Amino acid sequence: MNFNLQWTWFHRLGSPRWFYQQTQRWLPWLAVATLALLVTGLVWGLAIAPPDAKQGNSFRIIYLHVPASVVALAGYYIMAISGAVGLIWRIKLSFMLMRSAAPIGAALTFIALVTGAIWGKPTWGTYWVWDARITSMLILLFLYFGVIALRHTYSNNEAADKAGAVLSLVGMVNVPIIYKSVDWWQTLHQPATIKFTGAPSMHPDMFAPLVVMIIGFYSFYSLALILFARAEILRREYRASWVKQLVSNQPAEK
Amino acid sequence: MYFDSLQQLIWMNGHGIYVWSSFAISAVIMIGLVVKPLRQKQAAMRNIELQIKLQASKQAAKQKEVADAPHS
Amino acid sequence: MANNLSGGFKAYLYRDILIAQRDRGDLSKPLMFFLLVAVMVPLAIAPEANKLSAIAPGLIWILALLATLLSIERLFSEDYADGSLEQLLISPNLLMMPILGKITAHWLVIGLPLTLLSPVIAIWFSLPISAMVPMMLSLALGTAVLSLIGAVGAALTLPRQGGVLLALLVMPLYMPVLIFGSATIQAAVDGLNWLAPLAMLAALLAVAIVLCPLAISAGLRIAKNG
Repeated sequence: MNFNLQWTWFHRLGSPRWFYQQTQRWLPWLAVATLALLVTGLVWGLAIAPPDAKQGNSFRIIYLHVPASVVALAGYYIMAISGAVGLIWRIKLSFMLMRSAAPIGAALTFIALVTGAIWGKPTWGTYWVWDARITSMLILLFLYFGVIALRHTYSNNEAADKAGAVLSLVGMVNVPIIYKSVDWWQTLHQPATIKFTGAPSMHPDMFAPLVVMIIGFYSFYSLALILFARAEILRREYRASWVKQLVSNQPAEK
Repeated sequence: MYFDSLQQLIWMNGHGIYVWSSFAISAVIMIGLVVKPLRQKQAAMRNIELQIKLQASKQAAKQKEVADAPHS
Repeated sequence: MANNLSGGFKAYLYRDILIAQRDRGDLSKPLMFFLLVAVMVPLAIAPEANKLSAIAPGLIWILALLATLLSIERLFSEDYADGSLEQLLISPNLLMMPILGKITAHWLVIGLPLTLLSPVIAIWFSLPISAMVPMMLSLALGTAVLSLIGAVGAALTLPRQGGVLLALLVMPLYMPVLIFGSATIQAAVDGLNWLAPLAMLAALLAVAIVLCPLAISAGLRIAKNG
């Protein structure tokens, strides 16, 4: 009896229908929370916090750049782990989450790169510097592109999912290797290391809004992930009776 | 408020263009990340609706065929 | 019983070398590419010895990388097309063995000749003699890693081949190899300790030998079933 219940719970967790129905309820709250966090963090960081002594006001870009980088990197791990769960336990929903994670992660990596480049101009006079972090971010972007491109190689969803999961896992193993080797390469050639204002050395007045923004970006990531996953569920489960019922009760607008 | 006026906020001692362009690009992409899946969902729902209608009309046609067939 | 463990390895090693030998053209094309592009560089940049020797370590490595990429796609494609891939997947041997056999064959046919040709390029780029041995060691180890990682990409892109996707998938994974490989040559040129980056290459090779076959066999199964 007990085993049955546990299995049902686990099974339910992997059901696209359950996911769709649950998120229907929580989505508006998540959206509000995301907006609140981002607006608070931005207003605080852009208008209230004091500027950096050396970099001046351009340092405020940190409130976009760092959260985007952190979540972009975490997003890759989320994508890879969803792929692994899908491979090991054959959970379709997990694969759908993996698929959704790819474009979001790529977009955030792009934001990190662009904001980093824009930040570079007033700070070091050039839009691009081959420092370890930015170079690793660029390689991460290509890793994301690879996962997105691979799915078009396979005509059936199941194979595409599995291949994407394998590739994400291979990438995941590589991310720390790439990071370490790029870091080592950079110290070889540029002994004067360029450091963004490190977290511990940052004044708490500047650090607090950064924390808010990081949490806000994680919240945004969850929001976007759920939205993409819901669309994916409808696309793939179009034959299911619960979907047909859903659409009949709620005809599409426009 | 660190800045004394709205103008100062936008100008940011000459760094304004960098800060605000970063903000603009990020905002556009992030809004896109929310809009795109919503539109995809709409499109999926429309497709499913069409499918249901198609199936319903096929069913109706079949039933009509059966009804119209000459009774022995 | 020992036969079963290593039997697959030797069988596929010999098989692939035999197949490669029969089509000499395929064999030599990547190597020709390697040499040709090397000739283009002084024409495009500058013939001065100091300029060429400055970029030589990285350039030789990039050329090796491109030559490997050009040739790795073919690793599984013919087997996939004519059905011998099924044979490979149902063989009684550990799947890792036939896969490693094929990759070793690829390295013997591409990576090793590339390593042996590299002194020619080194001379063209005025690389100091002291860097020759480190260069060849880095290429010998590094091209093996490139073959292994490239095979992962080849397995994952089997259903729709057409070089660019393979390159896109595999390039980010190649970056650490590139970094340590060229660093070995550069360290030798600068008179620094070149054993350290070489050791990193060896470590990458060890990790790749263990992990890549896992990913490759997963990819092959997906291609066969999908």
